[in-house]
Amino acid sequence: MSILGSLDLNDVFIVPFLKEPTLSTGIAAGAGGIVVLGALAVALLLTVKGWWKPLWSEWLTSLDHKKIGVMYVVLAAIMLIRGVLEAVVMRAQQVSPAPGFLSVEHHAELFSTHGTIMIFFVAMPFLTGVINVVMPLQIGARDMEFPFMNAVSLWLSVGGAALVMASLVVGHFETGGWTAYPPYTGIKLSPNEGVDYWIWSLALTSVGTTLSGINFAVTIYKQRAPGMDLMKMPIFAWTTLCTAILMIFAMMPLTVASFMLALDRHAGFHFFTASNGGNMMNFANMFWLFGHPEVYILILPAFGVFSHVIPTFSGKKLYGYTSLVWATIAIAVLSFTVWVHHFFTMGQTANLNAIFGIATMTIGVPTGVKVFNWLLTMWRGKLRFSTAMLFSAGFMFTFVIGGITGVMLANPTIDFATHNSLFLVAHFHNMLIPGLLFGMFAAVNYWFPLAFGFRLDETWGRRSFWFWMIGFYLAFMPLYAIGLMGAPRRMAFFTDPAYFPWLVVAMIGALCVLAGLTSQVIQIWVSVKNRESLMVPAGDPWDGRGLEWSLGCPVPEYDFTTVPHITSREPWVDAKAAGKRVMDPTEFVDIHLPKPTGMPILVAGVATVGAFALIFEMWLIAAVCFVAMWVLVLIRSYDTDWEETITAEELREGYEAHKRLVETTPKVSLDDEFTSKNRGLILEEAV
Amino acid sequence: MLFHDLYKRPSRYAVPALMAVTAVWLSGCAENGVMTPLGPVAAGERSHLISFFLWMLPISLPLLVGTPWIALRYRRRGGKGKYDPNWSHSVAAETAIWGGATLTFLIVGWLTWGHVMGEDPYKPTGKDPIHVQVIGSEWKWMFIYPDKMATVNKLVLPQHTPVVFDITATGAMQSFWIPRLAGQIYAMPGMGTKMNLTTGDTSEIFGFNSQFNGAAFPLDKFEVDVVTKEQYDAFLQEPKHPWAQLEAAFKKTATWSGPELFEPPMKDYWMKVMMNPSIATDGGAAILPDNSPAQKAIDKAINQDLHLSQLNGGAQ
Amino acid sequence: MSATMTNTGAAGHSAPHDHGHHDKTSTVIFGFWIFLMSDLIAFSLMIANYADAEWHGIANGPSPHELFSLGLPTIETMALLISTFTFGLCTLGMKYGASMKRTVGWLVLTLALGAIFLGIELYEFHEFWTEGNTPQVSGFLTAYYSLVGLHGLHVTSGIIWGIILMVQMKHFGMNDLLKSRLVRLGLFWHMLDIVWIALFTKVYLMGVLS
Repeated sequence: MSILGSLDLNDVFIVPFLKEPTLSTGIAAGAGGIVVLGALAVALLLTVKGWWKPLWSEWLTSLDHKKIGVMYVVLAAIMLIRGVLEAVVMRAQQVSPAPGFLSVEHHAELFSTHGTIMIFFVAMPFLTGVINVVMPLQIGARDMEFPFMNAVSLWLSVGGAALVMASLVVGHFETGGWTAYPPYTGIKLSPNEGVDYWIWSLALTSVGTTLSGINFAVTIYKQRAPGMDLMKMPIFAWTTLCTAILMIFAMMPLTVASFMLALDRHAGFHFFTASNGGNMMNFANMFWLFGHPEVYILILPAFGVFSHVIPTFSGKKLYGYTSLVWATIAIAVLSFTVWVHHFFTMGQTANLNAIFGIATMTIGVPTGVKVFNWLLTMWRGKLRFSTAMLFSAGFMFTFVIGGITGVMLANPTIDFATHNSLFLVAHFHNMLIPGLLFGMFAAVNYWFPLAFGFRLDETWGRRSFWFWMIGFYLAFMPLYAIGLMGAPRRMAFFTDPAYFPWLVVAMIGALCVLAGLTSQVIQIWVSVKNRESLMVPAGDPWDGRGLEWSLGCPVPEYDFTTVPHITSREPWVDAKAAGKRVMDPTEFVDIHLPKPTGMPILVAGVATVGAFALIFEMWLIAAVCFVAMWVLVLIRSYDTDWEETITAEELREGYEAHKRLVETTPKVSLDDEFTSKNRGLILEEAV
Repeated sequence: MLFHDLYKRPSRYAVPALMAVTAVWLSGCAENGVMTPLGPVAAGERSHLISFFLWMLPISLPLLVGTPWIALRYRRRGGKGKYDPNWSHSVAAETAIWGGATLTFLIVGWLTWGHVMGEDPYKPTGKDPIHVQVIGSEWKWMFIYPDKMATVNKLVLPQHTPVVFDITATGAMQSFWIPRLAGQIYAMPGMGTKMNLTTGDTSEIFGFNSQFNGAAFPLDKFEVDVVTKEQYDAFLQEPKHPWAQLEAAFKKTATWSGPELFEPPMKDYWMKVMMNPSIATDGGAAILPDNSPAQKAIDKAINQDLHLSQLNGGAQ
Repeated sequence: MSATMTNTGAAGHSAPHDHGHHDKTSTVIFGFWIFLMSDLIAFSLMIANYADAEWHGIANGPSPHELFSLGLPTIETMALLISTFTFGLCTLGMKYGASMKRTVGWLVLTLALGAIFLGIELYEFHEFWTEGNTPQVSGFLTAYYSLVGLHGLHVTSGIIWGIILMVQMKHFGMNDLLKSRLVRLGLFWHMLDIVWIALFTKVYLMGVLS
């Protein structure tokens, strides 16, 4: 075998098209072409503008939690564009005359990458990014506890995403869906490199996520500002803590299951094979032992976001803090007890199915309570419908519908009739689009000034909301309907004409969602262009309530000039009520911040090359990369000069400057919240 | 122009337009799923589905109605609601929320227990069920009526009769599903699962695999004919092809286009396949390069199937 | 839920929020604890998988009863148990200011015992392998090699880690950073010992008795 393993010319994206030009191979070649040209275009832009150096020194090597968070979100945004485009292509495939323009495999690759990307490379980096930016600011920390490890997590996730992108250019992705059940994904039925792409891209990102989880948990336990006991912590920090704990315990089953699958495929092991005593049900169990907590990893941070956006834009205290905290904890604990509901149809005993079905329904209790809490937060408030608030309200309404179908699916006998159908597909999109994406969109619109110093354009933001909201209903309500009419999921085409009108509506919905995404791209573009008029240097543009809004925007590298003392749940609201416009300083002391380093990107880069080598069976290169990765870690362990000092004097100057700025910023009425008059700072209610 | 007129003179076009739209939607209600059941099991599933939906309404409607209502009433500009910025706790509300949610949970949980015990697919649905052994393979289904017959992609059952299926598979994990008769159960290589159901009135419906398993997944389906007892007896007497022919051809990873009725296999064939799936399959890739001959054959089968379904007026 | 769980300790008044090395040691160890919990999940899944394969995965291969004997595994276990004791002496000594030479001495002994453990394990693998009982034979053997092998890999990395630490002690001297690293290796080593007790019981003891 050559050093290049199983890689050959036919794996290059354009070759199959040249050999046999069909629409299906053409789309594959086109997608590969977009990736290659896109990468070239970005490289060219960076070169022409001379941005390589600042990009490297300011961003790629940064260990600043805010920048790492932003890079996570950028990764999620890029992958979201791909995921949505794939969805549109699949919808178009199903409304075009059967058998459509895609081959069955090509369609299967699309739904597999769509699922894998949306979960692992959109949802996960999105929420990890938002947590990175916001959580330390909310608890009065200056950074994550382990900034170096934080950067390694980021770049491992980027490496995983890069592999999924590479699958467009070199070879194929797998076709067994994002769950990749063996024995379909075994070497016999899926002999090409697709499943290996899935295994190794997930291996990279799941290791990254485990490390993130450890980082978040330790940061929250050890880095809270003095006086902030657990029951004074902001809800977002609470949901982050629960998410982190889930990450620590739930990612490992995925890592283990995917490694076992790799051993089955390449070493002839018998974990999940149909013969020689393998047991494929173990894969399903391990996958969902990860997969179900994963659902709450995805959804809890968004719950946290809503718990801040809704009070802020209701001008009112959060209803039922204690209730929300306990509901969050309950959800996190219960999430480990329900995984069997993903395969009620696997032939277990009725007792087992019933127990897991009922256990699943118990999660509905704390979840339902949460939605009521948000509703009661709005009750007797003064609601301002900013983009973030619109996404939150849209979430509340839509999520309830998903909750209804969720409880229905939790009944095993109903699940028998709806499992593997489009009803199920509609259900989980109904949970994750509002419950995750809307939350993250709200978070970006709400907290954007913290990272960049300016607000996002509201007009395009609201347009994006309506497109997403209407698009969601058009795209998924028809799927509920035809799911009940017996339409299975993952079908490349339907021959029954009765489904056609519904699929057309779903197609229009997908286009609406695409319009929503486009609006968001335009929103960012317009906001960057008009950033001067959207600047909020004094911070706190929305009459916010959390500690993060006591800082100027963008937040300086060191976050806090002095770490405040916490005596209540909403210290910033108390300070404002006392007529203050900055938090009182405590004691200025020298602090240490991590120096930028290229090591994390290097380690993850080598790991990614190694993973790519494993995919194409280049064992020698893989081994070299593995050793190189650890050598790099070893080199880092000799580097003890990893911090730089910011003196107390600099911090004092920072504080004084911020104070001067705040004092000279004119007070603004809430009426002008979304106008250029809003330069940040406390918004005074017009009398 | 048409839409212009529609707007101007509603009386003239509104009714026909409305009827046309209704007709399109009604034609859009395919009778393939659990909502149009033909047997007691599927009917039970439908009633569970509806009852769960209704039981969820008391807890959901306050949210579905309350969210837009509160959003309007308490909006900052023009809203009429009272402002109380520090109201953040109420024992009554807490009790109602946690109580209501818990009560709903208790009701649906209790119902679930009954539903699951009542409709356990492992529990016989009547006396003396017809026994059918099922083997799912890459992209075809074998049905064995022990000692009587073996069929491919064709399942014939007498009306109003209990049936028990023993289910296994050879290649990938599949899901055996006849939506109008009963919900699905996985067919897994190396394992056996069971499903009990009772048929309803005579009908020609279909069942399929709902778990994606490769290149010809859309063709992985089978006819289900529910017939009278006499027709069923006649069916079992129909001329059959030799078993050896089926055994050899079934092993290929391919769709099925040959004859449907065969002699039965030896007595414990199904059990042997369940223990060792490799005796019923040659293996082979379920995903293929676009230009491979095997893929060409699948493409041809797909086009053939589409052609047939057009001839039959689009029914599956 | 203590009132102040910050790294500034009990200081209730204007305590600065400092990222100094001093506080870092305890948080790093705390983080490492959490990592070990995640690692334990991997072992428990492998054990669960083994427990299943031991029943249903024999296929045409040997059963645990036929495969295992208790002799070598017992010696193996003793080596690892003693090594965890010697590592305890190593870190205790470090805490109470033992000389670096002594600390290194205990560490060398620990790693040597680890190497003996590993040697026996590899010898046993080799024996099984040459009898034709490779992991490709059955689900049970797959599970056996993976479970015990995963533990073995951990021990191997522990040994390499220990050697690196000794080199670094020479380079840096016995500073706080090195002490923290040694404590973490200790946690790792003790965890492997605890995991091994579970493995020995499940795989060998119960296997032979079955």
